[in-house]
Amino acid sequence: MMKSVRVVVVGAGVIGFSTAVCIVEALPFCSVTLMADKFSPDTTSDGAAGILFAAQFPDIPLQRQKHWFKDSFDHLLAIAQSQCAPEAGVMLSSGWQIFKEVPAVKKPFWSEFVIGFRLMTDVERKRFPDHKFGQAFTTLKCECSTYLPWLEKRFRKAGGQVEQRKVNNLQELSNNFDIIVNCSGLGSKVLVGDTQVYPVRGQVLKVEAPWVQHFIRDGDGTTYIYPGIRSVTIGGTRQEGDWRLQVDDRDTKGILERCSRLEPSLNKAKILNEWVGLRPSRKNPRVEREVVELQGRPVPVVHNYGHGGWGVTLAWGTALDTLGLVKQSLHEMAPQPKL
Amino acid sequence: MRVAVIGAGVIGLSTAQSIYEHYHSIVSPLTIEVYADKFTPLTTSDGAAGFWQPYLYDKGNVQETKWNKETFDYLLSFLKSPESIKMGIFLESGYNLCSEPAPDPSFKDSVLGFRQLTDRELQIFPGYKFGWFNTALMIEGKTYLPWLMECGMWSGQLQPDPDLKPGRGQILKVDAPWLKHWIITHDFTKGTYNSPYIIPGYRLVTLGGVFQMGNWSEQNSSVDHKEIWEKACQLEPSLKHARIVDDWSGLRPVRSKVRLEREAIWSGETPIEVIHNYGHGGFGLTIHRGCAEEAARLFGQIVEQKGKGPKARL
Repeated sequence: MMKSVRVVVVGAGVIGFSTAVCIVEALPFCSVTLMADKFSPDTTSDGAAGILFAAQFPDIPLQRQKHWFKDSFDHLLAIAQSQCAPEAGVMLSSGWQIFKEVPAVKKPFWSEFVIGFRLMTDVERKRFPDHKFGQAFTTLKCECSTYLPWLEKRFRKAGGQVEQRKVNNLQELSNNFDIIVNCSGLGSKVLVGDTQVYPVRGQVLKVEAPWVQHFIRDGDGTTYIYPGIRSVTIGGTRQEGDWRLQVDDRDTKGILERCSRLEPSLNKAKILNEWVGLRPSRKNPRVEREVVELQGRPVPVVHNYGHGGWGVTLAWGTALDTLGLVKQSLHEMAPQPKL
Repeated sequence: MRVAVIGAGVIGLSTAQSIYEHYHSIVSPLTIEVYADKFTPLTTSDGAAGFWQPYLYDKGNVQETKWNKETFDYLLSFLKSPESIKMGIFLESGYNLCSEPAPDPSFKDSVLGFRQLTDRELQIFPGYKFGWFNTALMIEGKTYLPWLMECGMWSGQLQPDPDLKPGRGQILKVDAPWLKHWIITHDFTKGTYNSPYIIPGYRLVTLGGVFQMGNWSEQNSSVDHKEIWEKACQLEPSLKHARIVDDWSGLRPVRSKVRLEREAIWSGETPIEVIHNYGHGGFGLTIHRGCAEEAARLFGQIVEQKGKGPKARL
């Protein structure tokens, strides 16, 4: 009787669930379990506004980064155009990214993958007197507090198992699983001892301002207004190495000031709630595989973590990449009856 | 001077506002009274989706294009201030879709960021081969009208105008807050607004388009309802799960062109000065300010003729 390959995905944020869905849907002969300590609505992904933008990482080949972005964008665009859109929490969003000084790169690498990318006209820029340059385009917003439950449904439907459990080390898993997929975000610092992982603290407010239909983002990445399905997320902060999860009133004040300068009508918006998340940051995301000796056995471990503030943006693309690495690991394992 | 403004839709109230703004410090006393049988929220302006966009082509009515632009610029100027929320105005971007290439619309220089649709965008809308994207303004009648001046009640006979006909419209209002773009389709064989449109508003999304010339019925038609709903779901599949909240019908005051002119009506020995400002069809909110300012200018002529104002030209 054929024994199916047992895969465990650690982490239930957008990276964990995207990766788990990719694997379970592509590899029906694998039994896939997703294991995590925290689930939606308590993950880092849940508070993220989920607007698709990318940054450029220094050490990953540009072609690969382009794939990551394009695959994620196309995947979510297909959902946005379908009947599933509201259930999945995905929507199209148009708006402007503005810069106080003209940036070195006027057309970033991802400009070809978003929709209708162009530079702002003079009349459009007049609305932002402190800013000299801007880009206009249409992108996507993916709200994880809705998207993660939707992905979980999809995961279970394809036969995936979900287990709530805090994983303290990889040894614990090697008894019951043949391949470990690590999507533990900031948790990788402890789980796999990666000292390069660090938090970048972000605080946001969710306000009621249904008249705001466009995103506005300052190119420095610290001030942004992202209209969502039922509220508008305004932010933010970028505090490197800061582990505090409590709301900081000084940050609240700063966010309201900066965002109201860009969009004065926000002065009248009712604040619905505040949230803090720790972006699981790293110089470059770690999407690679290795073989680790666990309890006397060589166990393939595929990593997919360290996406910083670009988790939602890169989730599907890196999940597909990770699936490829899982497939490679399968080929190298002891021969199974059928692959 | 006593001024009676007849009609309390967006045209009536904004005309009263413009006359007041320009003349209340010049003509003293200046009493402006608005008379109508329907006031907000029961006027045609209240039911409209509240989206600034003229018909695609002005058919040579360049004066109307000018008034439309004046209205847009006027509303845009309020966006920097928190007052904009009390007025019910905000920016919204979206798509004008055609089944074949068409010349640029009359409003291309009025709106923000006007451009043609990319191939990728057209893929989002199967069945449409051409179109434009731009950022325009929303102006919700139910919020804007109360913001304008309001007044007393009187109902009376108005003169018949054979050129004025109802252009019946029906809309659905649905709860679909994930939609942030308006989508207007154009079918040149069927005529303006007889083709589906989806216009997200402040809280609800308006679905339409029906434009039935000569139909005076203000009752909702279940046939129109079904047609509007099915076409909208075809255009935007995510609507399938939207909750339908309301139905509404209204009569657009359609005329070959806007009647904006003076007329002296003789009642006994003294003429009553009348300024007509009607016949704005489906673009009342779009054109209101430009027309109101023009009406105020005509009012100024009357003020001068009656020797009620300073000699200085306005």
